[in-house]
Amino acid sequence: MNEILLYRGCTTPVRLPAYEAATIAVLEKLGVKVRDMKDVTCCGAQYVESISQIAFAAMSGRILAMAEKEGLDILAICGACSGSLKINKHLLDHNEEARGQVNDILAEEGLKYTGKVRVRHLLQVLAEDIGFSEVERAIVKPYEGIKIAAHYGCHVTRPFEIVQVDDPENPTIIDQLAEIAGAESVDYAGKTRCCGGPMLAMDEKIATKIGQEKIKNVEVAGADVILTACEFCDLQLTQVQFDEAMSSTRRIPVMPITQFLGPALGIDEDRLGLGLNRIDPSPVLDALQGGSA
Amino acid sequence: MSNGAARSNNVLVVGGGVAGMQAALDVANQGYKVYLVEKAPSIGGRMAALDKTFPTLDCSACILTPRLSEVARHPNIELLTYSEVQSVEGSLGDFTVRVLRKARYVREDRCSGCGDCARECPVEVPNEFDEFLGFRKAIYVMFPQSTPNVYTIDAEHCIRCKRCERVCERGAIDFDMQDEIVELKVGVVVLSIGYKLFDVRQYPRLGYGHHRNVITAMEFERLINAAGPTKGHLIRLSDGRMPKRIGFIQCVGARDVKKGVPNCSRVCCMYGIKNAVMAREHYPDAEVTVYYADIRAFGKGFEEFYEMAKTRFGVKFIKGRVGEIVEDPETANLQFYVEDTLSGEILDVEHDMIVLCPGLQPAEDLDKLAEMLGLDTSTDGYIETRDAFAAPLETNHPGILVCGCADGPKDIPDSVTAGSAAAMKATILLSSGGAK
Repeated sequence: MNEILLYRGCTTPVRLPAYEAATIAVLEKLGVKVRDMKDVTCCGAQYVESISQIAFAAMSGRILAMAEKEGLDILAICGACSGSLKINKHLLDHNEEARGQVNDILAEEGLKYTGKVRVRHLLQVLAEDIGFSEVERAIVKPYEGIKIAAHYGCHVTRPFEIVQVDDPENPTIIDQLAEIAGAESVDYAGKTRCCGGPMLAMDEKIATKIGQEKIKNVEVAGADVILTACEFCDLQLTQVQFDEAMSSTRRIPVMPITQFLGPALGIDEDRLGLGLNRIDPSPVLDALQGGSA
Repeated sequence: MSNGAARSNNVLVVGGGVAGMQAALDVANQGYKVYLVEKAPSIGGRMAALDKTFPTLDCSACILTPRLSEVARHPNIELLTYSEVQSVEGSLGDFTVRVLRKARYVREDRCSGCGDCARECPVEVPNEFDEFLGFRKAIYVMFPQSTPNVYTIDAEHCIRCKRCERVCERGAIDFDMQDEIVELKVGVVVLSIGYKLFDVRQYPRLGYGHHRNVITAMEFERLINAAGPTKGHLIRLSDGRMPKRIGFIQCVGARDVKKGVPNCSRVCCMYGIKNAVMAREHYPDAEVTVYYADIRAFGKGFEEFYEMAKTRFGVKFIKGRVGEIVEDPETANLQFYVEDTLSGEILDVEHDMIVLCPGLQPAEDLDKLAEMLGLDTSTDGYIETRDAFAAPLETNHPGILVCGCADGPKDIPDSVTAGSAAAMKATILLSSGGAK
């Protein structure tokens, strides 16, 4: 793979631009050219999904059809986007009636869904398209003596039958990538559990409690940093640490996997948006052999 | 010895568990010769490793052991243990069977089972009979009542120090022994090949293999067994302490479409309840809870036993599938959420020990055996019988019969019944067609 279309989604550019910047920098370092998608909309996750299946399928279908025009696979970095695009692709590939309805809607714009392109979540691109050995070869400044806790995100790995990313009950891609970069991955209770993020709109208290339970478990396991592969998870696991109910004064840095890999690959700190992190990641960067990037 | 036209009146029974033993005895007692082939060094099968039976709480070994001797001493039964069937050719009345007799490096005709060799053997190996919880030597018998009562050298772990050879007064040790192929002529083949248990690791959320105090039902059987690795002391594997709060989780690898096991495996409810009762018997103060999907107590005396578990033995039953089990890193206690679906309440519980009760699955390599014999298998992987009502023990290959768990999960009484029935069917086939 040498070229891929980045579908940024709605939340990442606004609330976690460092994730997208780091992803572009890391993929380019690893030989994958990242191209932008123009005029794309929201994937329809949750909000439209809960109202109309066809509208939801049409929103994702439009993005897929636009990628078909470019003839390139889509890279999704958000769990919800990756999930929506894959679920709708699955629907459109297997349900002729739905495909007909969606194509009627897309025809207004001169677009057509045929199912030609694939949707790849970032973890798939890193682990399968680029490959662990290729990443390993590119590491120039490995970490030393740092423990990471991987958080995968529900929609990234589930439902496996459709999304086909890692083992949903025992995921290892982030752990393996971090170990390649010299870190030690620690196991912790509730590793595959939700971050609580999607509950925020309905019940903030419960959402926060879920997130904080996760932080406590990570703390007990002795991790120095939490690595994510979805900006919703990243934001949620960060903000629950600023909640008053959080008794511990020590905050654990939360970083998207690409932002963590970047410095080890010798990428300039500025390109990774490290200064934008709400929890200071410098203790993590100090673990780089030969000091901070 | 025989030309192709000769018909054989012998019967081959494949698998020396409780079903195969029953089939062998019932054929032999009608005057026919039986070859009983067993893969392990001893006959007895799964029942030999169980502590108690349901619903009567009889001692499993006490029922089984006399049968083991009966099989071993029967003049019409030839035991071929530590042996595997390699091929079966021919048809009803005239099968040619090749059996691999693995070298046990101990001569069956000389060994008296005294055990001097094992006392001398310096190599300790995790004992598969105890679910790898205890140890055995590299020269060993599977369990004290092993039948035949002959030692076997585990070639994989033996270091060839030959200390056993020096202490054996009967000269039974033979390091030059080779694997052997024997050819048998039989008229009918009975398959009683047993089952395997679902691999509970396929449920990572239950933590088996990761949380030390999550064990399987077979491990529990060995822990409460007086001949087991702890001499019958039920202890936690993390710290050796007595568990005070024990939970049993039912339907692990049964009635779960997602794991490819949609069927109910018939025995888990009852063995789960039996083990829960035994836990209370061991520790009357312990809190014992069974988490179940449905209790299927359909057999004779089963519902009464279930009732007794609740009322007389004080076992608590909660209808609900448990969530992710979390291990407390300090205490190694186990915590999880479970919905009590009868009250709708979400419970947050903690246990000292969790016993997973796996479902039954077709025996290891059953598919290969079926292919070799040209037998149909059903969608759940067991051997398909010709007709559930008219020919429940007959396969699509005339002269090849099934009993025990070869065609589906069965408990001990049902396995024995099927073994007897298969024996009857076998001799009917021989007397009406085989020897004529």
